[in-house]
Amino acid sequence: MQKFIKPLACLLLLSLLFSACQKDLSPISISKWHPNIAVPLFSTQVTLSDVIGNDSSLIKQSDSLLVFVYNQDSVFIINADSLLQFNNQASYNFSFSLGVLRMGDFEITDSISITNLLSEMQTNVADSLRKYDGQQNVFPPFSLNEIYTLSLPVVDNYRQLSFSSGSFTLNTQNNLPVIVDTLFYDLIDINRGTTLKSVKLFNIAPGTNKSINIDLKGKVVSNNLKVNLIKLSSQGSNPNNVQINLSKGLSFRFQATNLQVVSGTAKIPQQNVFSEQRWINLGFQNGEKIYNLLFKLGNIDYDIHSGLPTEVSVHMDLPTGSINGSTPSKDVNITSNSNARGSWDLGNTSIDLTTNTTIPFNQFPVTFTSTMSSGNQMVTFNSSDPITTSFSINNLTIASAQGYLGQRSFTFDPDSITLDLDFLKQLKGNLILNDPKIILHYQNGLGIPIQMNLNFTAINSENESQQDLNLDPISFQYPGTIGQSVSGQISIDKNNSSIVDFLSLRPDLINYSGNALINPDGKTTNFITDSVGFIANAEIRIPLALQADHLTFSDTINDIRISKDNIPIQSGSILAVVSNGFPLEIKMQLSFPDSITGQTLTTLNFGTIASASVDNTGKVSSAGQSKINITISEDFLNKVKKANSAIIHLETSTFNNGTVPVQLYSDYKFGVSVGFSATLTP
Amino acid sequence: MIMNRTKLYRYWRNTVLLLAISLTFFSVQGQNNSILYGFDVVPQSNYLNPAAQPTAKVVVGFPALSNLDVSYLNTAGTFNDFFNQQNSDDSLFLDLSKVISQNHNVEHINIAVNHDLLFIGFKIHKSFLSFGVKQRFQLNTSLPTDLFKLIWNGNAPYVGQTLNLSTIKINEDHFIDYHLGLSIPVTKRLNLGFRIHLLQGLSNIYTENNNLTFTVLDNSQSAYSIVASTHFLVNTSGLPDSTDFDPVAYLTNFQNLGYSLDLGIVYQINDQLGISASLINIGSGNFKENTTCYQSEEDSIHFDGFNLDFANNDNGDDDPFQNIGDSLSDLLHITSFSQNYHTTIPKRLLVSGQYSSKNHKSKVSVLFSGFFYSDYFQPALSLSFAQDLTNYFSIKVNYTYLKYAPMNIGLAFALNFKPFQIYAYTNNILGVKWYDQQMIQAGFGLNIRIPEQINHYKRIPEQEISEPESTKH
Repeated sequence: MQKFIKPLACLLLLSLLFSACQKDLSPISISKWHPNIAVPLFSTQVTLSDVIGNDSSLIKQSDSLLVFVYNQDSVFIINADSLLQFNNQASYNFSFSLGVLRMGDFEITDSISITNLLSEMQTNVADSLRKYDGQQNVFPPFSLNEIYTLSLPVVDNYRQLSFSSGSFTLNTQNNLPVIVDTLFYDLIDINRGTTLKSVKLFNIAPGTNKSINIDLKGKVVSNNLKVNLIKLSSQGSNPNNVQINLSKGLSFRFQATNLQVVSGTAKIPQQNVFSEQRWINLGFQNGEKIYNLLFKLGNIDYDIHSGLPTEVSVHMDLPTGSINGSTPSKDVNITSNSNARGSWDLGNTSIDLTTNTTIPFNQFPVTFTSTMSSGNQMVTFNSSDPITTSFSINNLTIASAQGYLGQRSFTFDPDSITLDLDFLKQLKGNLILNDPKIILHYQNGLGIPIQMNLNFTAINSENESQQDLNLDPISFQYPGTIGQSVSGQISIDKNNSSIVDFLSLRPDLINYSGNALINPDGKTTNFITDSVGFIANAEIRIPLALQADHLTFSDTINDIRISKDNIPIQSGSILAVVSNGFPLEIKMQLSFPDSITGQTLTTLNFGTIASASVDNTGKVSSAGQSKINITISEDFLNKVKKANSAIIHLETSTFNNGTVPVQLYSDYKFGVSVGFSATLTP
Repeated sequence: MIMNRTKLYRYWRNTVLLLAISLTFFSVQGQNNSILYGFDVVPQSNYLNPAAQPTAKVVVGFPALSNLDVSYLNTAGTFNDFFNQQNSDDSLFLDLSKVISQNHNVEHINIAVNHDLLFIGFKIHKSFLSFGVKQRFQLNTSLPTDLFKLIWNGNAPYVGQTLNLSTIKINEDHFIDYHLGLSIPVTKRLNLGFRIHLLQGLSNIYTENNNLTFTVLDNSQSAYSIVASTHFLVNTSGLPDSTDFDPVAYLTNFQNLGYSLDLGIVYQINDQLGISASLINIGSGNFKENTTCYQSEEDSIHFDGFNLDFANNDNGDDDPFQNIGDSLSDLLHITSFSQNYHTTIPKRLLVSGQYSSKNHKSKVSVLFSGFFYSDYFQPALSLSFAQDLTNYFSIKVNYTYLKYAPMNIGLAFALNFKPFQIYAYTNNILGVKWYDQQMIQAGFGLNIRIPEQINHYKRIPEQEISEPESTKH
């Protein structure tokens, strides 16, 4: 047994040895682990173009020079209507009278047989005639013992007329088989009781007639006439036998021809009452002498009153005008003693204003032609019956005009341009812009010399300062042929204005006004069209060529949350390696105000980023290299916890402390590589 | 996977902690076993020199218990070198400063497990034939001191310097070893032996090449630039999927076969003085099944921070830490693919000289041994004393010097209760205080052992050695 004791004792000893060697592993920490890491955080390279972003107001020229461009369209507008203004609603009154009317010819026929006269003859004569009526026999001599009256048929197309001209032909026919030696009769107007004509005829051979004309001028004649046969005698046929026929005698045929009447009551046949021309003077008030016009819009509003006894048609036309190749015209029907009102469209009507030989401008004729007819209606009229016409020309706008528009000035309505120059506005300090310009781009379709006196005032509302542009009068080119236009631009720069001071003010508002003088050198032949007037757009061009001396920029970044509790960093530093291709020296500082008291808790100074160097043209020749180390201490992290905002303060000067003009090109590059070194507290 | 800032730091913290504990707290120990060399009473000593003949006629190891050998070596330091104790509350905190201050170029952590599943050996005439099946696992890692510096101090103190991480290597082998060994007495004084191994590879990690370097530059072009050489190729085979592990398939995979050979020689100069040497694990593995190889797409990376592209409105509103992680991840593209590959097994050379007392109950020896790893040689020198205290109980003590773990006191014993034998050994008895030791190793086994009839007290004359008598104990 003893031989096992030794080995067992050894084993026991080993067991005790192992069991004694325990190690408590439960509380193991890494509290002493504070690795110091240096990590590249990010690197970036931006061009100036990237920094600007999609700011449409900054463009780059072909050589990449950045130019701030602000456009304001339609700064100055002159259109044809503003140059040539019509006296709209001007009235033109024309009066017409009915005048002499033309009446239609008419005739009155009637006859007297022997039978009608037998009672007025001697008895033997009468008996003999009765006895041989229808037989061959000697026609006995005879004469009338009494006046025989023949009432003529009533004329139905008038009742009474007062003639200004016309003739009444009295034709007497001897139908007896013997010579009428004497025939006296009176033509009597029954209604008026007047003898229109006393007719005396002699030796009227059988079967022949004799005529007498009556001039109706100045006569008033009714339609109810009679013939008083005063004397009728004959020697008979003795010794010759003649065929005796008691039904035959004398026949009358009265014809009225070429009748013109000044008044009366009649059925007025279809006829032109009058055809007259009147002149419309457009009556410009600024000495304009216009030769030709093409109306774009417009109308003649008319009011025609007819004092005529029946409906009348009035035809109006513009004989010197043209619309679609035809003469512009208008027809108006007016009932008796009434008014006709309407509008005559003059759109697209061209008109020649030079046909008045006395005043060969500004006027054009209007022809009025009136037609009337009473039909079967008997109307009473008078040559003085009136037609009055009232014209007013309204809403006239011109498509084109040619002539002399006079020498006059007119004022542009004041207006303003609100500028969004944030990139300049937020900068404080001295800024000298090297070559800013305002370019007036214009298109001129007005064939007229124009000289403008323009006033621009820059206003910086923040510091309540202002600066005038001090611009000399500007003349614009104009086309020589109607229908053409010229385009051009007027450059307002440092050589002809105070624009450097004007824009260095960093205005947020530009007020502008002005006036334009047309035909400043006197009379010329001008033309204007409405299709292309004068329009000027303003383009503010500020090439980013500048000098800046200690421009400062401040802004507040809100809602920051920097807490040491959020980041496992005890302390550290930020290292930035900057390759600055911008010709700007930049100093930046972040200050953190207490969120409650506003007092600055701590600041973070980012040092100075060296400017790029520029050559003698102001263009960057080599980038500035800077290495910036920003220490973030534990104290800083403790203080910044109390801040909820950061104020960024940036100060910049152009190269060489702003003494050298620099140019900003879009392809300038700013490269920065940022890393941080930090002691971690995992 | 994109990690936010908090996760990133938690990830780093946990990784460091896990790594630190891994380096110090493995409870397994490796095959830095040298104490069994020449301890002939234990048949498994034949593993270290196939020419050596155990003092047994027949040996049958208890299945799965005949030998279990584990070893661990950490050249970086002990547990206490990694963790300090707070004076206030005795709590431990990680502190790599001591490890770093040693200024070793490379630290090695080797873990090995050898586990006999079956072992049988017997004498045939004068020869000793043995065969068996064993499970072998070994993990050999090399970690450069620069890696510890980077983790512990961060990279800021090394701006402008290149941290060389190319010596990071992780090699792992797990295989079943079918072996057959024969020790043949060639002359009266000379024994030669060999052992051949058929290796059934189960899993493997093999760092084929690695050119990792890490440099942080601070120059005029950028605020810190990380420049790293990233070329590496790591082959793996048979690694279990965390979500789908089939142990049967894992253990019955015969597609990854390898072979190795152990050679040994024993020369008895005279009755008391002898020398021996062996070169074991001469062989290689071939992996064809379930291989996944990881390779960096780029030979190098250059990281100046994530790129802010203002032009495309990428203003960096995102978490910068996340962006850094994403950028690095984008830079370090690792591709995986499958390919057959070939590995070599670390060879081991053992050379010994021993002197026995006249009665052969006591023996002193000196042993030089060394591992031939792929990129370094790990030597050890041991002085031993063995004593058969009784016929039933033998003991051996030794001292082993390792370069970075110089103090290793070994102890081995064998209890022979015929026909049973139980034995145990350690190369560093001080390893019981594991937190103060860099090298820990232990093994034990249980055999059925029929010993030769050798009477150490009446040792046969030297000239009669050629035909030893078979005796009963």
